[in-house]
Amino acid sequence: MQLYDYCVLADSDLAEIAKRGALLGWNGLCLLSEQVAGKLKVKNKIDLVPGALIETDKPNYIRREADRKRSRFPIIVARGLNEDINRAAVETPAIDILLPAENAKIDYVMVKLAKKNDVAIGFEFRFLLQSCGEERSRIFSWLRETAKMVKKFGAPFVLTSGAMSEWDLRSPSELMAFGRVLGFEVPQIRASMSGKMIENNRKKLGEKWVMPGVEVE
Amino acid sequence: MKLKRMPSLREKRHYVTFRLHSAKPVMYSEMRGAVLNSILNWMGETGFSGARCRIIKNLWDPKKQTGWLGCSPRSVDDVKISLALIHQIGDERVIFQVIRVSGTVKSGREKIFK
Repeated sequence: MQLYDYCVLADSDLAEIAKRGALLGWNGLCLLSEQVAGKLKVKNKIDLVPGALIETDKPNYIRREADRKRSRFPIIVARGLNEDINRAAVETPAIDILLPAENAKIDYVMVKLAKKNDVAIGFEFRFLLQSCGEERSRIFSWLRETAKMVKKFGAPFVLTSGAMSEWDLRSPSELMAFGRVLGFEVPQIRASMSGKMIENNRKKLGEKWVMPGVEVE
Repeated sequence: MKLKRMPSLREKRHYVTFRLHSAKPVMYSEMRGAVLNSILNWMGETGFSGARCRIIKNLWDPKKQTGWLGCSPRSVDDVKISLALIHQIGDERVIFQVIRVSGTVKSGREKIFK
C-alpha cells in the first residue's frame, strides 16, 4: 500500500524534505506549496503532490477559492481558523481536507456535513510536537474529542504530520501510533494514509473523466 | 543471593528498534536522557512504571545511530508517540524513526538485517 503524508506545509528546501520523507518510509508527500518540481520525483523516488492551502478568515471566500483552484491542484486543503470557516469548509465538496486550528472546535453537525460532502478532517501531529505540559494535554484532549465524533459518524479523516520543515516530518509508523492513541482502528488509519484520495482526484483532473461513473475511452 | 521470579508471573516484553536522524551524531547518554524524559512526560510516572521501559545500552550503534528499547506490549503505542515527540537533543534537531517492534531481540535483529 502506498502511504502519503497529506499536509506538509513547508515551503523551502523541497529537495531535503523529499529526501527525508523517502528515508522515513513515505511513498508520497503532498506539499502545500506551488514550487513542486517534476525532477524531485525521479531523484528521490517519492511522489511529490502539489496541494493548495486556503487560509482565510472569510467563510464566503472558501468556496470561490476552492472552485478556482480545483482544476489545477489534486489536493485542496482549508485551514479552519474559526468555527465559521470550519463550517464553510465542510459545506464545500470541492475541499478535500479541513485542517482545524487549535482554537477552532468542530461539532457533530460539522462532522456529519464532512461525511456528506466527503471532506476529510485532518489531525495534525505538529500540534503535539510544538507544545508541552498543560497546553499539550489540552490539545490532545481536543484531538481525542474530535476523533471520537469522526469515528462515531464514520466521517473521512487524515492523519498528517503537518510538517513546517524537514525535521517536523514523522514516519508512517509513528502516525499510526498517533491514530491508535486517538482511538482509531488500524484498517481505518491505513485507509486514511493511503493514496486513494490523490488517485481519485488525479483521475478527475485527467481529460478522460466526465463525471462519476462516466469516462471517455 | 539472587532473587527468583515465578515463570508464570514473568511479564512479556516487546523490543522497539529505532533510528535517530540528525545532522550530527548524538551520544548515548544524551539520547537516553531525551528518550526517558519524553516517555515520562507523555505517560506520567504511573504509566512509566507500568511500561517498564529500558534502553539496552550495548545494542546502541553510534555509527548507524540505531538503538533498542524494551517495554511492555501494552505501552508500545505510547512509547512510539513519546519517541516521535522528541524534536531536539541539545542544539540538534532530531527525528526518531521506529524501524520495527519485535518480541525478542534475536527476531528483531534477523528482520532488520534481512
